[in-house]
Amino acid sequence: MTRNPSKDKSGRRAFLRTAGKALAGAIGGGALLAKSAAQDDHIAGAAAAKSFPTEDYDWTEHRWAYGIDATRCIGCLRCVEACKAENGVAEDAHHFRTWVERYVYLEGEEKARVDSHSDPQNIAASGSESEYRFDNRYQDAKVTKAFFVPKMCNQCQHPSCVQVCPVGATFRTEDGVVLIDQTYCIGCEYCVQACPYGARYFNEETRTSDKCNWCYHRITKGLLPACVEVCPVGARIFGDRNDPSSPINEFIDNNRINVLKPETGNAPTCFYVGIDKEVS
Amino acid sequence: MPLHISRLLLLLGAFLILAVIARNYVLDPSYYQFGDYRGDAVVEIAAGSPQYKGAAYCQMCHGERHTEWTAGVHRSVKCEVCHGPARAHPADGPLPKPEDTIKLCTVCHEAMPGRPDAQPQIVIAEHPVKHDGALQCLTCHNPHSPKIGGEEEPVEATAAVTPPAAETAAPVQISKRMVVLTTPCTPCHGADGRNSALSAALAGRERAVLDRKLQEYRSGALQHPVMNAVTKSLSDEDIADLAEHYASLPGGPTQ
Repeated sequence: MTRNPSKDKSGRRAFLRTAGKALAGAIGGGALLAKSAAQDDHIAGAAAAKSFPTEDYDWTEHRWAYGIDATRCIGCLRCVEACKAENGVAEDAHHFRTWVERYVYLEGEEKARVDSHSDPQNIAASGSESEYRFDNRYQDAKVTKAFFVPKMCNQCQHPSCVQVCPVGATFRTEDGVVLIDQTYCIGCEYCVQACPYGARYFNEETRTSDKCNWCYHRITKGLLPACVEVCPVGARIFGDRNDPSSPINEFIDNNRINVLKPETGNAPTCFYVGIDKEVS
Repeated sequence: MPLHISRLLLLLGAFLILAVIARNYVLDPSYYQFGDYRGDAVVEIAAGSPQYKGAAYCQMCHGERHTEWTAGVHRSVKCEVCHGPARAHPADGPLPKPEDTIKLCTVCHEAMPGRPDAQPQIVIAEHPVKHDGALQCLTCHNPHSPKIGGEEEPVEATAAVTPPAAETAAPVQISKRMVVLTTPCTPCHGADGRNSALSAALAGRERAVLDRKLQEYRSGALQHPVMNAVTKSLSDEDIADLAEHYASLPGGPTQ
């Protein structure tokens, strides 16, 4: 069977033209409809309240950053304990928003031995999974170098976890903290896998992801994150980059600082001093 | 229009209508307020109530402790590090006083590779006091100001020793040297030398006896884990002065 090529062509063209117009109209109409009265009211209401997210705190005025001085850390794990008490994190050895790693180089060994509070020997030394301490396994070993490194969410400027979330349940705030919307999280755990720092964990009770948020409920009230509050040696430093008198600016200005895994392009806002090449 | 195309358009239209309905009636109104997330989530997270209240909160009732603590070397260790988060305290009862202080104190002070040199650390087995559970760290150390014999302002802290027998009498003034010398004695024997609950009473005892006992503890002729440790570094002159000091204090049971 033969077909008229010109007629066929004009038919396709006419269809594309009609379909294109219909689609554009539908999208335009949909977008207009989407701007419903309810939504406009909500946004207008928030704008009228001047400061967000609370009456006394305007997130556009702050730019939070965190400093970790590993040369000061004594590995007492009071930060881990305080974080759990402050944020209602399960009191076992395997769910945590912050943790401390011990790096030990033994004589004649190239690679560091690394352990944290969830290591079975450390659980045994503390007596239970809800108490946290490092055992003294290296007291008689020939240690050439050893140090502790506190770790937590790096509150990246380009967070991988936010990029992969399919439902908009995790996002970066205007003041520089990556938060999780527990009501929108569907528990798919993409973010847990996407984080290059292993900073997220899955909460089996709520079936949602969880991680450090620099105690957002504290910093928006003028308090320090719980881990910074309890650190007895000043290894954890927190502050506002927009405030010239903040200790974080002193820390960043007076030290040669590093971030973990800079090659990922995540641009963390946790800055480290005194870490070694094996820390990542 | 061919049937299959109009069906397709119908399907597309139905999808768009569903999308608009979902966007307006299912999605939270605060979604897209600032970005691809629910703006109200920020408000909800920021509304959480802090559990750790900070030392200033404790100070409101425990001012005396607070003063003692800020003068000592433990001033960087906030109240809630050892006592736990204040939460609704005092409304929901007292905060715990840590009982197993050997376990608690060694979390920071057990000598361990990796701890910075600036951190005071003890080898538990070699620490002057044998840690067999019978003697707690608090037997010798005041947790709020734990350094023995070398606190910044020892004169202000312990210089005035009030003899309890005579409330109206002026406090006995002792020299700064004597304050430093008696600091290790005070936790057990009391500033007035009468505390006999933990230890022997010293006040008013014969000078020669005190002198001899101290020398015997120092040499090891008399065995006592704490006394042997605290007398180890004393000179003959120190011992003589200590004996004279305690002999001169009024004796009698602690009131």
